[in-house]
Amino acid sequence: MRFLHLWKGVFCVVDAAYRIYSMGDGSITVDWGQVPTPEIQDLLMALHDHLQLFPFAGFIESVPAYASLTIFFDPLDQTLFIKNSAGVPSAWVSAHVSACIANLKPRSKAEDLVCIPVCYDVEFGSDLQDVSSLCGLDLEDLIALHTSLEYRVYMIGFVPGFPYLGMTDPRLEVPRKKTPLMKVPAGSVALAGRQTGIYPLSTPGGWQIIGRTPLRLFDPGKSDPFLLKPGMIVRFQRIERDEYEKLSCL
Amino acid sequence: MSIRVIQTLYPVTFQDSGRPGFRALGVPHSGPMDPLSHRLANVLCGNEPGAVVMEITLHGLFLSFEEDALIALCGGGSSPFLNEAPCGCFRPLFVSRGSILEFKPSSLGCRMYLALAGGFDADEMMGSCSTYVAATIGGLNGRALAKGDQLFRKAKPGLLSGRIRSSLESSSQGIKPLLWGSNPFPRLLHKDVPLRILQGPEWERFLPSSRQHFLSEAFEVTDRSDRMGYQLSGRVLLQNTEEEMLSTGVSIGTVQVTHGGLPVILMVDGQTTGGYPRIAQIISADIPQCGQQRPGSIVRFNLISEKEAVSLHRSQMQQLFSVSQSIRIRFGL
Repeated sequence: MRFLHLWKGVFCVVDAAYRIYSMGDGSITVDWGQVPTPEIQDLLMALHDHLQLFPFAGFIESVPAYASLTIFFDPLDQTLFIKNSAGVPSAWVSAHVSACIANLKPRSKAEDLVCIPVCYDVEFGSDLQDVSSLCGLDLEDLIALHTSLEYRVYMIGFVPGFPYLGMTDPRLEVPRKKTPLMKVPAGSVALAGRQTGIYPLSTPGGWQIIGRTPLRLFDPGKSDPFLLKPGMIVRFQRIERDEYEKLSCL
Repeated sequence: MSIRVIQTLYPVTFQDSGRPGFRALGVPHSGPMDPLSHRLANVLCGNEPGAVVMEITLHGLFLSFEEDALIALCGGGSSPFLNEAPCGCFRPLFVSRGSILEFKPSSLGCRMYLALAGGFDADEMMGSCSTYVAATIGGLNGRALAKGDQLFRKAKPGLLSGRIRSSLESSSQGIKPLLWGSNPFPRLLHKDVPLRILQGPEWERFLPSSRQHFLSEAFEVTDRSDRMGYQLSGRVLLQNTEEEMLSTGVSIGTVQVTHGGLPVILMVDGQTTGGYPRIAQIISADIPQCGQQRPGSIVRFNLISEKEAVSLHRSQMQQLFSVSQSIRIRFGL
């Protein structure tokens, strides 16, 4: 499958070549390389959706990441075994998945846009000052840049509901902190490299914290506990402290 | 029916067979660190293999039984004593009301599984009762058990549990040691048995000498080890590139090598994606044995083929099935 896409400022045609490797006896990964793009994500999410809708014998689950999809299966599944008695189960699963990819249409539905209110109070954004001096931007410009773009949820990982959002404006690129914080408060919005993310739970963390959202990204009591899913589009909206307090009471 | 927690020292949590289906949203599988002992404990007291059990890390736990109960203990990390007499593992056990069960130190293994006929009553979240402490879900209020907790049975024990119990009550010695009391999976708790691995996706990234060291040298499980993963110490492993990698899905038993060149084994509560090079993957059949390692344990790695890995896994499951079948047949079910 070929795509037209913007890379380093020029349009070029890219072949969405992939390779499949096994990881142990119970999973394989379809890997589209080291450059994540919206086109690759549309394709891997289409494969993810396809496997949910049409699971093969022994399929357990699949995990989308930046430019890969890891597929878990039960290598002892009886049907899988009968179809595959000559070789190893991962070989049969890989062949099956390749055939699926050949007939796949990239995900094309309009992605859900989720607006996330963020309070960029210095009390919440404990690394705002550091980020501001690292990037050579004043606080207002920094916040304006962070809220100016729409971000894609490339991956959910680290802890339940933690979104890896990309790509941030190159002027906001910052390294991870040298010493991770032992306890990052839940709702913290942070930067690392060209990514931005939100801590759903209070956990240790090494990203630079610039604000906090009153929304709950992971609420296990709800029928759907997750606010964000891979492939969604996120926009940050600046709110003041009083509005933060109001929203967090909801 | 209730059991009271008198004292705990190391983490004790409720676990069922785990919470699959949410890895795409960052939720780890959880469930027992040693899934074989978990299932075996359930089978020995007549439960479904995946019922909720207590996972007991090392020693120091005291339980008080406020009703009669049928239980089974499988695994390692402690020596169970019932009313101050050693009561043994890998067998069903009738515990009379008022008994105290104590877990004393043992040098083998790390985790003991206590199954209760009828199962434990625990919070179900997202299709599983497994405790995942980082997100406070499952188990008892999403946390490890603590002094004073009162634990309840989920359901009335089934017919099979009833027959096992009567056979234990009718004989002071318990029933004939047909299969009781011996561990059908001796590898589980054996020291110096290597963990069998397959090459990880980034195997080739490591220098040939480092691959050789990984397979020939011993690594120690450090005290920075828990249900999320084990940090190992030993020979530093070198790579032929320093290029950063994009994060990709990882699994239970994935061996990553962090910036310092030391391996980390991801376990059941570990994160679902990772960006460190993966030198190896522990085979499914050896995850239970890996779950029985404790801080200070020495581990070695032995490379095998995927074909062998699948066949080892299959024969392990067949063996568990035959234990379960022979119990059913023994009790006329």
